[in-house]
Amino acid sequence: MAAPSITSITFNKPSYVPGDLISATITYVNGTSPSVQSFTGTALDNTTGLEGILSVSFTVSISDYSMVLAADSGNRVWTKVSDTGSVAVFTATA
Amino acid sequence: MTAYTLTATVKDANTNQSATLPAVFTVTSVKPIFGTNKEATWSVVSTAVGGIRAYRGYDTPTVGIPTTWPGSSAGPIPSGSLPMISIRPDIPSVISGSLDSQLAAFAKLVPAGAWVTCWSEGEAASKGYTAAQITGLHNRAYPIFKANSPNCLYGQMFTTYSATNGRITPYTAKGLDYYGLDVYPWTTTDTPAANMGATITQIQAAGVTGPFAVTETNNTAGSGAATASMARADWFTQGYAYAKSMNMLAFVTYWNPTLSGLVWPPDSATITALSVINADSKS
Repeated sequence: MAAPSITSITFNKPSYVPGDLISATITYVNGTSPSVQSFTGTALDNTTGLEGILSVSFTVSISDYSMVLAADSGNRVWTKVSDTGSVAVFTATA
Repeated sequence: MTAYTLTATVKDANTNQSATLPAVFTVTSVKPIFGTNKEATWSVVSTAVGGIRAYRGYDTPTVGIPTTWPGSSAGPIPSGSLPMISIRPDIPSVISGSLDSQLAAFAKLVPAGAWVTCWSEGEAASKGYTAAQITGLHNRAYPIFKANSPNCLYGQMFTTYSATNGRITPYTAKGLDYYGLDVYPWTTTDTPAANMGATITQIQAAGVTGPFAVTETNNTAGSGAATASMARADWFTQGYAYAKSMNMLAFVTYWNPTLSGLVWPPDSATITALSVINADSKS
């Protein structure tokens, strides 16, 4: 199991003037959760019809759904305009 | 220049684990662009105060949606100026979508950087429109203008008088490029900061953070429509200082030869004050 993480935040411009559209691209990695699954092996005796069965468990790491949020110290309204599951783009007005 | 911190948060919907990452961006302060309106004979004012930039023109309801830029009653736009043009299309028709193609055709004519709006001061009680009609108008028009002229600025212009009768917050359309204030004193003790501040507070109450601009101002409208609360030169000087402090985009005066209190030229002290403001705006 792993926690989600944010890889990077990039802006579309190095600086803004009031009224500009700010576009922030956030690259992130979803968290994962363990999913325990069972593998069952069966040996069947074709003559007697008897069978031997053994089950073992294994763990699969599942990528979770993540929510991405953006806020800034200027209390702007940030709008998520796209989200691929690993890259989210937010916009606000400078 | 002001630095702001964007904080991104990613939260795992399954485990509730989260991560955050801050990033800094900067917003450079800009000085309000100084200008005036058409009726004042823009070029006369411009010459008197050292060459101005912003030009505000108005199309009438009769013009509706112009078929040429900027419309027959809003122009002609002075060469080299920044046009701020308002049009007055039929609001119910805009909301219904029946004027979409005409709005789009007009929007295609809007140059990059130009300011546009529909129905400046449309929220005023005298116009008789409901809040739903005004917000519906802007919500319909904004994406059409931006789709056809992506680098124009489409905003909403209020009269600050509407702050005195509760007609700002419910009439504010969200997500526009600017919010213009037509600023005149309404009491004998009014100040530009108090006047504009009251309107801005009510716009912010709608969840809007700006940016703001002064799209008209003077300190008497004549005919008893407004009251001079201080010397005109002081009104402009204080108003411009407040606009700068609020990172406003423009500071546009209003003169009108048919209104006794707004006839150009004003007293020499006012012309001197406007010249100082204009010089600072361009510095």
